[in-house]
Amino acid sequence: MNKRKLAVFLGKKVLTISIMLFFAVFITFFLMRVTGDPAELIAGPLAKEADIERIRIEYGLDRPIYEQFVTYFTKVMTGDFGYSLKWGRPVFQVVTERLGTSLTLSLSAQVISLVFGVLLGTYSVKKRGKWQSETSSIISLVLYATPVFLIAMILMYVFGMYLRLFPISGAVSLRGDPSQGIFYVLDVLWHAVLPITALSCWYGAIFFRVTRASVSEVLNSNFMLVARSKGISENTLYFKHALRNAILPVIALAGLYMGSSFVGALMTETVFGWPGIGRLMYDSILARDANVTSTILILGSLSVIVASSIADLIIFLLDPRVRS
Amino acid sequence: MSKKEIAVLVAVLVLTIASMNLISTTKAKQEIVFITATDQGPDTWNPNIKLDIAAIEEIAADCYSKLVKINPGTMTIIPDIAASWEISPDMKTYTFNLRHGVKWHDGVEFTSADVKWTIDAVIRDNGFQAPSLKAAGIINVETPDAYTVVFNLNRTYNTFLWDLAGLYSGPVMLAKHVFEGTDWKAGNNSGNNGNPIGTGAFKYFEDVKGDHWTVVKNDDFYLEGPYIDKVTYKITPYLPTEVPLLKAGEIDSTYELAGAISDLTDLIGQPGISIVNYRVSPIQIAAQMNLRRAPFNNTNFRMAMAYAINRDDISKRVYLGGCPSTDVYVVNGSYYNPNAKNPPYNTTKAEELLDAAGYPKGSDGWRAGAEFELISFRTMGTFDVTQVIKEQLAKVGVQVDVVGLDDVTAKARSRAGNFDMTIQGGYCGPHFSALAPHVVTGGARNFMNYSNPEVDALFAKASSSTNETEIRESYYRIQEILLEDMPRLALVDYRLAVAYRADRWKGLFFFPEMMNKYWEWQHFTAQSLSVAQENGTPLIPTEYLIAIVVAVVAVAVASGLVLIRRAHRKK
Repeated sequence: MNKRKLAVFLGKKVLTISIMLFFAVFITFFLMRVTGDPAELIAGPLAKEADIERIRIEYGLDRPIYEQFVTYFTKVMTGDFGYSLKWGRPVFQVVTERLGTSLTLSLSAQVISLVFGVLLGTYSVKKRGKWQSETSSIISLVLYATPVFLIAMILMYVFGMYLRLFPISGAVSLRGDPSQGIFYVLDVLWHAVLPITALSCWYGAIFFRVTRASVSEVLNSNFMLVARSKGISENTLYFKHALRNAILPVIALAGLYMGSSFVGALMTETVFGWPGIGRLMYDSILARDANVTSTILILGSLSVIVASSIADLIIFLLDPRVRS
Repeated sequence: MSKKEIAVLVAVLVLTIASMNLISTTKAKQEIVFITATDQGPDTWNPNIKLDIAAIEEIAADCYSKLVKINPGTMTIIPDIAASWEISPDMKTYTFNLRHGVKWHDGVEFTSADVKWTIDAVIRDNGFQAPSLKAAGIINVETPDAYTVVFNLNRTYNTFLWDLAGLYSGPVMLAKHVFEGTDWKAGNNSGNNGNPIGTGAFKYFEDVKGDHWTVVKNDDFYLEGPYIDKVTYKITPYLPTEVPLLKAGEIDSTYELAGAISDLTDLIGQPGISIVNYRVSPIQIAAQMNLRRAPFNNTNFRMAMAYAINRDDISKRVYLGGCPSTDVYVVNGSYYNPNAKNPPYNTTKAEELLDAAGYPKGSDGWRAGAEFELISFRTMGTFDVTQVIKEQLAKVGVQVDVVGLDDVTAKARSRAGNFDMTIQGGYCGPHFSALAPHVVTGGARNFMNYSNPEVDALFAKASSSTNETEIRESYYRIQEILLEDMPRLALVDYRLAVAYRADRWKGLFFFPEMMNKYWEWQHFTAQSLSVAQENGTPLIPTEYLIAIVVAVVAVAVASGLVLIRRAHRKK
């Protein structure tokens, strides 16, 4: 591979990320002001006048707007997102302590849905015209059209409440001493099964449909005809040759969804009581904790930007047409 | 894939699920754990710092003590950490005799010095309960010995005990040896305030933000019990999940269900589940009318609302009768004036008053100019109340636009006077003086902007009198004035509807003295103890667990190898 081309690509990406991050911070800064007095927003609707004034001075909100933005941007770049109104601790601390919990759920669901969605999507094309293809297509459509929280509630009622196979809420068992070591990991995984399944159903449906469409598109390509004429097995034909060439749109999509994993899955985490960033966002909105909400917005934007860029890099490395 | 391979994979899946289930449950020892749902976690474990519902309502009662407290069953003042008290004839001096041998959770003895430090600190540093303590006119707190505390007031104040006992007005006792010399209000949102030491029946165990918090039994508690080893509060902000949690046995008790009637009906008749209605605190659901805005600046219109709103109907339809309708101004009818009770439901009278108010019915059946916006919270059933009121007022030609708001917005709009009528639940009792914040000029809960100098003077007179007749006459006259002015209409006496696992717990809620809240676990009887112990989960030796995990992993690996080998053969 041409190292120069790679360097140029990476350089452009870094520049793009920087510009997009700048705009993400700017938009967040702007949103906090367009909805009213940011000091009042940060202090909360029940704050007294003296508290609002104190916050105004503390956050530099009494200064000219351009100075305020420079201060805000500088603080964001150094990881200073202020204090949480509700939790009374640095926002960065409040958000990052839930990061692992959120990523456990979201990333696991993304990976599972990606693997199954891609494999089943390809299998569906292989069995086109047969009942396997039609059935899987209908199921994917139903899952895609069904809101995630509804899928979550159904799973909760069937597998949690009636069959009692999995716990319904939380990340750990509450009865008995807290688990340790491998038992803790297994306990968390057991609690994560239903929320991961709920998320995987929805994401899997998306990956299934994109893969199916993409693989169908490459079926009549010249290289596929050549491969078939060489007597390559059907499985190799679809899962190696077709999929490899059809995977690029899926990678791009996966990058977007992987990036959004950072902000967790708000509905799923709320339904299952999973203490992740999605729940944190929900609680912050209800509590009018502007600092936490805006921080999650900024960090979420950053993760989507970075993850999409990584996806673009993967595509760049895989596809010579992109490199040229 | 062959049938054999599919069977192997299914077996692997089932074994994995089963082993996870076993692994999780076998960690549970034979300890009595009660898990209850709650809607929010605490920001702080110190109830004296700020308005924090979880800290003030749950943690305060579990982990801390007050000098005195209220028995909601009888609505009387009873001893807590003060065993007894004397009040001077002029009601300016209150002497409390503390219990002996009470220990803080760290083993240090509790003394009168802790009481003095707490009261002084809350007043000096504007703790959450400072307004009520300042209103009492405390000159100083004396400690003649380790078990005696004397409060000297600058005036006659006959409701001081109610203030000390009140859920939101009475401070909990804090440990002087922990907080003296520190900024006790700083860093309060660390989750445990650095060192949550109390004298209550339970001690701090853990606080997993956003998920749950747990308290464990205090073996040195100064009263009987507790009989439960551990109480865990599971945070379930999404109400509909409480019902499946209860049915699945993951929690033993829901939080309050009065606001989710559909959930309540779903639980009625369910095997193993009981529903009880309890008065936890003196809360009334009331309609407050904004006197600054038309049409509520018209007395006839306000009175018409009182006649047009059917409180019995609200009680039946919204609360299934669990929260009784009320005619009184204060929960429990403290100093109730039978000649000044709220108007009865009478649509004919309501329509007459509406006509007199200048809002005649048009040809379309509606009264032009009488339409208004009705706001409420989305908790405590208040939103459902607004729906019922909308229907009721439509019958007399008044068009109502209903808006359900989240708690924060509803409070903010109420305080800002940005509403026409609001339905809210608020503490109103058990003593008549609790009505004062709702109706005195500038009162903390006087969102109606109601102001009557005679009412203000009567409250001040009553609270500073030692003559019971004078007190009664003052409170009676207040009720007559409020009936004439009608700024606020009490609707129902709010009671929590709680569903719990009656197949696991007996004696729950069925004891005579429920202090401050229904979940004072120390009052469970021995009967409930034996039933709870029967539900302990069996232990599986660790070596069997490891063997199961190893077997599962081995089967999974073997299956994988078989599949790979097959794939290679096909190539």
